[in-house]
Amino acid sequence: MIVFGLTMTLVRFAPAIGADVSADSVKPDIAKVIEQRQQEIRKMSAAMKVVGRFLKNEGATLAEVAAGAEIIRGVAGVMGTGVLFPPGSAVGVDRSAARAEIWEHPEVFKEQARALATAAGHLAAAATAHDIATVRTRAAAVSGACAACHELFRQKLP
Amino acid sequence: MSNHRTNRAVFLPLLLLPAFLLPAFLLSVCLLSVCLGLGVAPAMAGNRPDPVAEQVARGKYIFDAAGCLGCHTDEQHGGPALAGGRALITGYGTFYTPNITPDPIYGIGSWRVAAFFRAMRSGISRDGTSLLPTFPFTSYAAIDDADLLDLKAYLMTREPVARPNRPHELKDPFMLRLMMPGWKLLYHKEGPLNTNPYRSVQWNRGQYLVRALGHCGECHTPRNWSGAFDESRAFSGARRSEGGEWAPNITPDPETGIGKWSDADLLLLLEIGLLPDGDVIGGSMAEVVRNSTSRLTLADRKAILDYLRAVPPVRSGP
Repeated sequence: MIVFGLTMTLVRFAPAIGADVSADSVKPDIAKVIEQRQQEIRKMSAAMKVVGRFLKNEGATLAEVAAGAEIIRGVAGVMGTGVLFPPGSAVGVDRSAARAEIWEHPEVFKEQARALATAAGHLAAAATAHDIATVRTRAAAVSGACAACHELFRQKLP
Repeated sequence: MSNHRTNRAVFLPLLLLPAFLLPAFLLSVCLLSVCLGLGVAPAMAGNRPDPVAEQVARGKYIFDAAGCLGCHTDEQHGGPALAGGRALITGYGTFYTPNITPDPIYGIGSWRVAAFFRAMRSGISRDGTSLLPTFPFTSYAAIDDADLLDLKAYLMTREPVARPNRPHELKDPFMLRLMMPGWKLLYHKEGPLNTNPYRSVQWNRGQYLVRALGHCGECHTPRNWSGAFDESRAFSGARRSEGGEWAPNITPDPETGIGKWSDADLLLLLEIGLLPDGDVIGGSMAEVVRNSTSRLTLADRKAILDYLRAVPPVRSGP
């Protein structure tokens, strides 16, 4: 499901930061892209919420943590391609919270996304291995990767 | 028979001699080793705690709890750790944090303990100039002697960086420094926090962490016209500068503060920066979590919570 959704995104919303698709092949509908990427980001938040529930002993299972981490890894991978961030979708357009620095420093942005995908992969592995102590430290790494990216590229909206 | 007796009388002391000589010999070797500083046995020496290393380790914990790294490192521009230069934008202008590496010229490498204590507690630099309250000496003034000594010991183990301090860009630096002695008379109290005997050890530890080491009030407590804490609204949220970041209300007010947050939510926030809705904490607090609260022990995070749960609730929002 994730793969299908992401493939459709790649087809519909290229070009963007570093996307391997010709720039004049498709003109993105900016409002829809913003909506799409915010949906993807909400999926990551929902997944992290499950991770948090596990860490707080509020009923979430390790299997749910692993599944959530895989969702984060998938979305972070797509964010790294830049297809969800076409030029012209920065703060000021619709409800975009994406700062202009994303387009000014695309390599840094991609690196942040890669770091998040890697951290989420490690979290998924620890959860699959039922290694609870490691789940805790790796969840912290995922949270830290989210925060590091937000610090550089997200505009906090009122 | 008589010969046999004679033989026994002669040989018995000779036979027993090693039994006396061996312990005496071993004792002598031990005493000689100690005198020569060789240690009795290498294995025992290896297990002996190293007081300097222990002090540095304690200092590292104080360093983290006090959040020194974030302010004294210009991370945004790739500045070296603790070499200063980070811009702090306030209503009084822009402050650039100083170099606190052990560099003897540009850092604090040649500062004696008394100078370090005076800066931390009285807000007076080694050259006698008044430090401005952007440096949280009003909070650090309550850090106890042992913790300050440990902190200094740790700082002296860091990499020295020969980088000069950048001058502040203040609206009226002359007036600000001129006013400092009077300001301190009115608002600055040196010395330990009042221990509350009716509260638990954990609550008192929390008070020390929140008010002294963690200096939480520096961001979360609003200030009066002169820039001093408004203690009647302690921890009720504040904005450092016009249009700047809002540091939220962390009093137990249920509507605008942390009253409705569970202990588990707050502890996880301090540990990994995760909010109950799955988002992560942003702004300056992300840095505080990364460099400070995530590195505290669980007992200390609980102590912080214990203290904050007991401060008077204040209704106040951005």
